Amino acid sequence: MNGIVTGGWNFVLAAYIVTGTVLVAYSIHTMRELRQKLEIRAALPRVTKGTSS
Amino acid sequence: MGQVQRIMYIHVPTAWTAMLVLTWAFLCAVMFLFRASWRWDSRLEAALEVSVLLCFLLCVQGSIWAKPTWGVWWDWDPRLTTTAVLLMAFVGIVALRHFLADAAQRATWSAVATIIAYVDVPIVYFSVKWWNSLHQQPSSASTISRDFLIPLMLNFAGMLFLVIGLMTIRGRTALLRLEDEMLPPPLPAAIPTEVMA
Repeated sequence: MNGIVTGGWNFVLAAYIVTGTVLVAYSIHTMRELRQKLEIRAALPRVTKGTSS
Repeated sequence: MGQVQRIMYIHVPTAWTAMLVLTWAFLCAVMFLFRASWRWDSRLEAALEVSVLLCFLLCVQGSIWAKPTWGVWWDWDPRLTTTAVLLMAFVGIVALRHFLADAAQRATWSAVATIIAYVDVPIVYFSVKWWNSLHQQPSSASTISRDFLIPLMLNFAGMLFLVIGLMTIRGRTALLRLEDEMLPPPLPAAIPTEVMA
């Protein structure tokens, strides 16, 4: 028992892979969501706040 | 400590960023209640979602760290328990926002709930000082060698940069959705003549 944990690379890789995957997946989801919203907006006829015509 | 200490270069920046985003969510909630501006509600929505994501990552990374160092994946230690409570509280607020259809009610209730849930943030931070904990005491720049501090700060800067970008994009989406909810439905392109008559 010298306080050194041996063979910990698999845990290190697991932590980095999980973090990277979650962050990349959320980034893609967020960007796609905004793009879809902007595309729907561009396709609809323009309605301006406070105008009736 | 061995190779597993490398987990700290991702775990600590995630924790710091989570604390900052949670504080930003708290500020957005306070600002919404004072200003009643939809812009602050959309910022709150973005901050809440990113907070949940970071708290989830924090628990997963901590669990991966705990197995080789403590011998267990999870322990009901004060730091871990208060972080789990924080995650559950913010998951609840995000769920609350999805269930409420009325925009004003959704914004007000989630702002109040965020302020209440934020009480747990200082408890998470001080838990290792107040109670006996398996989790180590917080480190400072004076207790970390320069070789460890540089990659730690670089990762923190990268994580913060990414999270600010994500919250900006998510906040914009939330604002567009709010505008869609507020505006009347678009007029039909052509009205049949028999209706006009």
